Amino acid sequence: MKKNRILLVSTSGGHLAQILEMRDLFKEYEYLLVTEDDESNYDLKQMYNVKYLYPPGEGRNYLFWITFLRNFIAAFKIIIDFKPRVIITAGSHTAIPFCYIGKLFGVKIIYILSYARIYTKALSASIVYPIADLFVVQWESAKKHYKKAKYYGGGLY
Amino acid sequence: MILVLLGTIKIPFTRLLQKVDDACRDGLINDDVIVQSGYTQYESTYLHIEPFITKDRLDKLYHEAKYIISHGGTGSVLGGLKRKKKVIAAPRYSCFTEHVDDHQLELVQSFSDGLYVVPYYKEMNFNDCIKNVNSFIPEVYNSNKVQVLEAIKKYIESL
Repeated sequence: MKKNRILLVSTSGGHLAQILEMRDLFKEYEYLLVTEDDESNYDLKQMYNVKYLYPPGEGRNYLFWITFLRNFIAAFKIIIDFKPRVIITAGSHTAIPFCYIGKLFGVKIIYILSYARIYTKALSASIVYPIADLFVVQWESAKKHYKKAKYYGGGLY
Repeated sequence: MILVLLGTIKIPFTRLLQKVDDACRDGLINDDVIVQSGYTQYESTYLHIEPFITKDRLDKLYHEAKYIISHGGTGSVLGGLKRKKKVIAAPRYSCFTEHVDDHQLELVQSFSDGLYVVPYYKEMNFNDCIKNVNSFIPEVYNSNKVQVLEAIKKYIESL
């Protein structure tokens, strides 16, 4: 049987740390990890099959939107080239175009709400929630805002 | 050695580093201090500051550290807990423009309630946290990660 191809998408920092906690799982598949081009991520190259996106600017000025557009196009290209069966993400904004474009191509979307969200909503999660095929929360209390969410008795840490 | 982690988010967290620096100057901290400063610019004669530390080296430093002083980010705090280390967890606050919202406060409160970390909230005296951490015995963090990964795997296999 052909192995499932898994695309993992993540913003830098804690979101990425959570995705990397899943390494035992995704290494069982043909995977590609996509994250931001940031100095804190450079050592990933030696350990993982990874592609870097354009780094985000600060704030929401015109540079943010140019980067957003460039990454939107990059997302299209990556999905067409890699042809994933599943996209897995723990947020945040970086994941949004991938999830929506992926959905158009029939890719299954697994969104894992960040471990940092215990009582409050997250913007990127709320944007992807309606199209997520599996929406996982890492705290029981987080189900309050996301009714169809699954809680599996713990988190990724 | 004491390890200080400010996270890799592109917003500075000078307030915490200033407190650590003052504690060194006042003789409250006498150990070597290694800081992963990320995007916080800071100069100090007491602290050994590096913007980014590779994950391999960070793993060694976590193990060698007497305790960790961390911002309230998931990766840094849980990195300490999973290695059974004492952690002083300082949430970044949006009112000081240290983060975009106050989710770090949520996380630190949850872990502080369970006696996993020594919290440093904005209304507290940082020096008290340093004094308290010495006698602090953290609760052991039990991970349920295996069953979470198993459930996700089951979903993928069902496709």
